[in-house]
Amino acid sequence: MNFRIRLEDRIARVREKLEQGNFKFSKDDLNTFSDSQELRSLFLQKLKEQLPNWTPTLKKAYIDLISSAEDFSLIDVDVIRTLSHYDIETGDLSEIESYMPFLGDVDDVVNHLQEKLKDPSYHAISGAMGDNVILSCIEQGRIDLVRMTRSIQLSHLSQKAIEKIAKEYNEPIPPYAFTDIDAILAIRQSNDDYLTFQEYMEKYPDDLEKLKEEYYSPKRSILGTNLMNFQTLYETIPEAEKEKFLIRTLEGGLYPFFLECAPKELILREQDTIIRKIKEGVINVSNMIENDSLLLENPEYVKLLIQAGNIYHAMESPIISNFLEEIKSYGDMLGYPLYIDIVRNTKIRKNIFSNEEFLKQLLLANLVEASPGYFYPEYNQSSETKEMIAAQRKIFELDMELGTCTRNSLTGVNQEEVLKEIISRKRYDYFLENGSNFTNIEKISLTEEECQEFLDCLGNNVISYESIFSRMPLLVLKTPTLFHGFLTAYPDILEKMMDYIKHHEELSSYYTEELYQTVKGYYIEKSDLREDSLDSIMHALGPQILRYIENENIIALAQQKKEMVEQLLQLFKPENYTLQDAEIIYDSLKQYSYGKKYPEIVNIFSDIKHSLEDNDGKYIQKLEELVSSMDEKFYRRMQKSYPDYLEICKKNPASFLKELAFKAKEGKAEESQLAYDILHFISDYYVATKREQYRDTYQMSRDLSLIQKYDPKDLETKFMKHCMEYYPFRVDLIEKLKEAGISEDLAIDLLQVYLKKPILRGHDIKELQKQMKFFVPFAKKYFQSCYSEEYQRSHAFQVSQTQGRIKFYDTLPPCEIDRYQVLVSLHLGNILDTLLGEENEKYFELLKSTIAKYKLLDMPACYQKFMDKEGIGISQNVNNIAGFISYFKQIYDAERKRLNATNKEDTPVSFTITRILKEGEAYGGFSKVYGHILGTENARLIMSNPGPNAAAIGLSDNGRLKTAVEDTKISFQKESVTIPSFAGDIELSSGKTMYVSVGNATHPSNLTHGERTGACMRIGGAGETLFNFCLQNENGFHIRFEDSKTGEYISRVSGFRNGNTIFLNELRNSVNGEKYSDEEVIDACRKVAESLIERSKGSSCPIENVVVYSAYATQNMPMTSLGITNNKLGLPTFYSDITNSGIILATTEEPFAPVKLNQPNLPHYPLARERAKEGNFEEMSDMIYRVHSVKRILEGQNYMFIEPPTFQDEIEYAIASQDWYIAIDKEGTIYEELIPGDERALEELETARKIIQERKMTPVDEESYQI
Amino acid sequence: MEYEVGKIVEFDGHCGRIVSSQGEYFFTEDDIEDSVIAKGRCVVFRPEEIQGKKRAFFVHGVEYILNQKQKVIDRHSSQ
Repeated sequence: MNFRIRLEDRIARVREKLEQGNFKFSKDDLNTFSDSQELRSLFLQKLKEQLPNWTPTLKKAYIDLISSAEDFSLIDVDVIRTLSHYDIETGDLSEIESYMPFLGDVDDVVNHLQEKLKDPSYHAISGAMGDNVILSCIEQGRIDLVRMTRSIQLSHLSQKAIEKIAKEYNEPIPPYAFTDIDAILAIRQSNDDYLTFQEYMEKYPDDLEKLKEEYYSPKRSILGTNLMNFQTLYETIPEAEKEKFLIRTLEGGLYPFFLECAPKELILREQDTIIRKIKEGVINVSNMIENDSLLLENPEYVKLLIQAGNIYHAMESPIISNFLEEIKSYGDMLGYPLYIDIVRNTKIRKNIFSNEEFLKQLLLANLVEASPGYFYPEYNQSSETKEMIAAQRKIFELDMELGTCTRNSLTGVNQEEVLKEIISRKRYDYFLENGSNFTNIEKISLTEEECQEFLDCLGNNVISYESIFSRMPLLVLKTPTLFHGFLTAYPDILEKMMDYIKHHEELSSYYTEELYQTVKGYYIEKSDLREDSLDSIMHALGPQILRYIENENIIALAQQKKEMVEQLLQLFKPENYTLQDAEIIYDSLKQYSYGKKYPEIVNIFSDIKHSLEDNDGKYIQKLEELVSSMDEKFYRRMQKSYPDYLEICKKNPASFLKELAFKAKEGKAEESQLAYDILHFISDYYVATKREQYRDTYQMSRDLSLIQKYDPKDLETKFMKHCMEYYPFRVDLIEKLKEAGISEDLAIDLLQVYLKKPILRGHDIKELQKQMKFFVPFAKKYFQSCYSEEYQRSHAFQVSQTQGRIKFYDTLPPCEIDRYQVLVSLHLGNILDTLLGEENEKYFELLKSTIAKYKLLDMPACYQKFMDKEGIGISQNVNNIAGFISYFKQIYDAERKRLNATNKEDTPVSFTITRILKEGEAYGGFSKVYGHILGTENARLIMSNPGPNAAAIGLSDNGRLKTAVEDTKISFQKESVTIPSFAGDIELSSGKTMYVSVGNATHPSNLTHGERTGACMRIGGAGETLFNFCLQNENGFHIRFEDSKTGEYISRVSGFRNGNTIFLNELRNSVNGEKYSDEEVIDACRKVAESLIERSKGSSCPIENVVVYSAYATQNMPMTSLGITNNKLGLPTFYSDITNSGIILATTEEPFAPVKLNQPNLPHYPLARERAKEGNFEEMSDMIYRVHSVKRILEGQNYMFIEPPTFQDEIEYAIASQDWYIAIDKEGTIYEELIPGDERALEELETARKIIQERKMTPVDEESYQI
Repeated sequence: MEYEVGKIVEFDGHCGRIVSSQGEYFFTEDDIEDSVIAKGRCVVFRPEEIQGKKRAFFVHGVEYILNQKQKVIDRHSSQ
């Protein structure tokens, strides 16, 4: 093939077209015109013969030719004059200006337009290009403005033209004369100092009404406009008329707007209208369209898209994309020649082309039209080949742009690469012309002569690298080598090029170490990085660093010392993730989900207890369930724990359990306690058994949707056998054996033996078996040289049909966690402060081992779907992992505190996989609005829902946050309690003081007592009923113990009052044993109890006993039976551990005063108020935000969008309590807010105001103050 | 009202991205308050920056804002 011949060929073809009067030119044809002056003259001659009868095709050809050939001889005054008249006639003014300058006198044209505008049915489309005509019409005063604005689409007019029109109009403008909001707006803006559309509508309500009328009027088609403005208009339409309006917009062709706003159903319902409108040409779908995913499933619509030339969008349709993807995957997998082979020879072809016939044809036809350069007129192959070509077109993506670029402007680019391009084009041509013969395609190359000729053709136009890059980045980036060459040759555009790759995912293979070495110097200088640190990151995590090199985390890290960086990178070491690792995580997820799936099993003991107290009989069925789990193993355990009861239990388990239940309910205190203990023991065994049974239902492969793969060895053996049976491999192998010195007969029999088939040439079987030792490796080696693994895999289906099923085994999907993504998601500042360096080694090592234990950064992407299905509300996304790493110290400390609170000081901190992901989420995943309302620490606790006794049922953790907001609202609505509440410091017997708050309702930690102390009394927890009781009922309350100096949380107990007795549920262990021991907490609690009795003396119903349940801090103290049967008599149902016996903390007579329950005349006391706090903004911001937010919530505002308070200057000092704050900024401005409802708050605020005023009068100089 | 209006450009059922005039925001299914959320929808949300990342919380369909706007206008006029 020779280029000279090709050009002549092309010229001949175009000439033929011209002679036939065919003016439809492809891009290739236009290029041919550029190359031939003779053709251009011929074109002009042919064109003149046609005039003055212009057609759209003719016009397009002419305009295209002028712009591509840049030949001024084509510009002929007569031709252009007729063209301008034609444009005015057809109403398309968009290009008129481009050729107006060549006319000289435009009067003629303007007059013509003026005449046309008089015709009321005339409608023109103008573009910015047509401005001059319009302006000159206006200037000459020869045009009726109202008519013109009615007749011309103004949205494309330039600002200058709009201003001109506005000026001519003067007030009042009849804007309804326009149908285009942008145009009105532009005019209004010119007159009115720039209004937004919103403001415009408010200022000119009449316009708006008229505008709407215009929209509804069927006589006018709606013209395009700025979508945002239109949307604003749409929002003003009454709900009932919206649909009508939308349909109207659709009729008018405002298709993108319709898609944007219309609900799904309407879009589906109006499909036919859309299609009709596209056919009528009202809707244009030739360009980018959004939101039409619903319609992409409509074949008719897709067809229209393709017809309009919007092929790439059409390919997004599932109808087309499925089969294209299939083709592509085969192409990618096999490479070019094999793919062709398969398409021709195997049944895969049938799969590819079994899709809807018409779409395939259409796609083909339009692809041919889209790139005529590759499909010559003489090309007339079988339809089968056409199909392949259509597929090929997609696979190779040899698009026109590239071809044109190659031809036009490649001077200065690495010539070797240009040649590569030419070769691939030549091969492609060859492929098209010899559709059925692909075997020699690899051999096709350019001849010496051709190369030289082509390079000469490129000419001497030297274009700068930058302009080449901006005009055709795809070409420059075509191969990594070319890209690299460019970078070295022209470093000035480095950033531009790097940016380009960053924005094109498909180019990520360009990030190579070589590239890194080339560009790193630039970035080191730019961001002042340390080279050794940057290198460390690159060596540890790979050259993809280039993608993130300008990320602030990477920059900050690369500015640290190398040792620091390397320490952090220890966390990122890759681990080999095995199926066993997956099993561990799978098991732990399954177990986690168990509690959520079967709360009735996990909570069986508390349910039984609850039911016994309520006497509702539900426990009977539960007891039966317990009986069902008793087996030999159980009795062995019983033997160990409760040997005295073994026999009686074995004899008749059901009646034994009934007996226990009776004793628990009716028995004396000690008896009842023992009965409950045994029931607890049996329940635990029952739960364990059920869990074990559940484990048997596991099926990891199914649950995690693991991928099954062929066993490659098995496949190879079977494939080899398969090949040995058929020509040509069989014949070839025998030939090879012959070359190796084995006779043909022997070779044939060896094959037969290997295939376990009858011996054909009569050799002795023993002889043959000896030869097998030589034959098998020989055959295998030859086989391997012939067939690549990919080829085998692609034929696996075929092989398994003839040779029997191929073995499968489970494989994990790949890990999708990008280490760089984790690195850039980290909160690096926190890590540098809390994890790195010698002083934090303890934390770092534990974090390292935790990550290594679960291979956290190598987790394959198979758990997410499973977690969703199982209702485990967590996500394994990068954010959560990064959150866990970033806040590890905080998470560790919180966990340590929690363990201490449940008396597990000796238990080392460890994390389950669910905890890891949840904690990570809690530290990065919730809105700060929750922090404002609940306090950051509380929000975090609710979000992470730490065990033991974590909430299991119902709510997601986000849902718990929402509930907490609702609960906050409720807590502020509570008005009184039935205990004499108080708050303040008390002196302990040890001499220390402790702050206690008794009966406060609104302190935010009331919502997180459970999370803080590892208790079930929390939102969604097993003890939620008690939680809600304390929140809502005046008989329920909390006692909180704090460090009197720092306010640090120490312990709490929740309780309720019934009659003359206060029942405290569980006094929790001291959270900080170093500061306050459990004994001190008990002492404080006892003092509170005594104080309660003291304070209620003389009231309508004095408190006579305060009792507490024996658990946690008080677990070693004996309980006394109180001689009652239901301590909740007269109260609503709720759960509590304390029932009919307890430790007497304080009483009015020994051993305790007779318990009188359900008393009618309980006194009411106001709720306890917390003491106010003062400090700078940092110390007080939590309280300020809370008062600000809660106030608005109580006013009925939606909490989700509450703004934080704004202050003119930095707050210097503030005083705040639970329901008010007052603050002063540096300028002396005072801010205050008060949640109304409690008169005492107002008094407190009044006092605080005085303090603030004093401070304002005598500004405090920090230094002198300290002296 | 602290909110922003944007458009969902990506959503796979778990996480997604919203583009508004202020930039691009990440959100998860937990942040969705409205059942009609899907790719391509105009939404209103609370923009926040968490760990240096732009996050969208409380993602609602854009209709939400029409109702809220009215409420705010009412409130202001009553004040």
